Amino acid sequence: MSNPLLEPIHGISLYDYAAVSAKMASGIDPKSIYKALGIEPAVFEEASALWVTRMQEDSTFEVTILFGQYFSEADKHPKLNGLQAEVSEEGKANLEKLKTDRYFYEELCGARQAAYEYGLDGAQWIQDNFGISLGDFQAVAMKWSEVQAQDIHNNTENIHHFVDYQQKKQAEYAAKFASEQGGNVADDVEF
Amino acid sequence: MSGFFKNGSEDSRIIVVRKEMNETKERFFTFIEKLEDKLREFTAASIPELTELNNTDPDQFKRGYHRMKAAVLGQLDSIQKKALDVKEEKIAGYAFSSDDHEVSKVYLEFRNECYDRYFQFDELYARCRQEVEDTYAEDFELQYQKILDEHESIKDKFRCKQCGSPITIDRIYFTTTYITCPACQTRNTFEPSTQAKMLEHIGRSLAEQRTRHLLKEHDEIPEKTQALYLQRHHLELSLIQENDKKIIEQKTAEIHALEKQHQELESTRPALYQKYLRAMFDEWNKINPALADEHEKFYIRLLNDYAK
Repeated sequence: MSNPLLEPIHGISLYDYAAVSAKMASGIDPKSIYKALGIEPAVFEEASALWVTRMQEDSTFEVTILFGQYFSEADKHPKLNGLQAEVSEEGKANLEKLKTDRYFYEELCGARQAAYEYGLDGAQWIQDNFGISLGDFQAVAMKWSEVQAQDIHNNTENIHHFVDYQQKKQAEYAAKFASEQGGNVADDVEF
Repeated sequence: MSGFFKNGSEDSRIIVVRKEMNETKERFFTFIEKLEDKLREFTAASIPELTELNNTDPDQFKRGYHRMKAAVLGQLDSIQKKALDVKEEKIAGYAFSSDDHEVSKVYLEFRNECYDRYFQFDELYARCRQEVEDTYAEDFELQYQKILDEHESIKDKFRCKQCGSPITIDRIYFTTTYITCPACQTRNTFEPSTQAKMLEHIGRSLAEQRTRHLLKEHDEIPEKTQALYLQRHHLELSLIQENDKKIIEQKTAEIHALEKQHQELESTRPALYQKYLRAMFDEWNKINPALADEHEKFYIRLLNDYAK
């Protein structure tokens, strides 16, 4: 390991730290995570604070970039892969679809943004309507952002296509939320 | 209004085109004015509520306030989008015979006037957004004081789980920590409260708040150097037509003096930034000394980044 900032802290590697963060974000009880990893809360909490300071110290952003990558690969962590939040069958199916269907992913991104613009907790709205937790959503988002990063070099047309699609979906959901809330403030102003 | 119906000798074809465009322009101006009224009314009605919620939201992360602010901004955005869509459809997409040079000229005049009006609207929209954003304020001093008060109230109340002896909590812990009982050497686990766990995060924000006057001093330099540049530029322009040697000498001296001031200001920038950064990190270390060594590494990184 050439970068000393990537050395484990109190025996907790960056992969452990990122996977624990992902599992916590998906709603799993921290106690069961610590147990599966075989660590004490006090050890993890101190290591967690120190991993944040490593990211602050790292001017190359290598720690932060790897954290994002490991966060999205939490389900492959050998000690934590068995830990899954309680998810409905519909939620599981939606999560699988989110991983494989880019259109579905872009639609939910647009829906989430529209929800925030109408005063709703977008992450909670996705959880309530599609059974996907914020942690799971963010892990999938990391994967799609890697695809997008590759597209920047060889397929910019694809980027525009999905940006347009997400905006279209956002507008559709915005219209739906506006309708549920009795319309927008300037609906009565016409050209 | 300028430009329309100004040429009495125009042929009837152009007069008709002008009339139609003028009607569209009048409708567009009225439409924009109504949307501006909505922007003003909605912003004015939202700000007291947002301010109140910002002050009273009991949630640690003020989620209720942030949701409401997002909704208000969303409505402002929807008004702006409505104006933009109509501008694109009715003005940018206005149907006319572009093969006809005279008609094209009339169209450009019409379009410019409508765009100018739209830009006025857009400036108002930006101001309204800023007013809404400005309702957000965090009192980090108060949050820190609550942590200090809490520490004061609990520091002598913690007892050993094994022998019951009192264990003094000698500092503010922001992570779960093992503390050994001085009487029986049993390892006890002390878990800080949720607000104490925020110490490191609040510490940085509070340190930034306490030292922002120093950052401002640094950040104001580009504005000051720009003002000096404009003064110099103005003097240089005035020399172009100047023949009086005495005045030329006097103004040239002034230009040199301004240049010197400019260079002096520029040269103080790095030192001012370092002064701010040092003060900010010193404050942060005072608030959370447990991570002082790590803060120092961050300080060096930021200083190096600045020098790049």
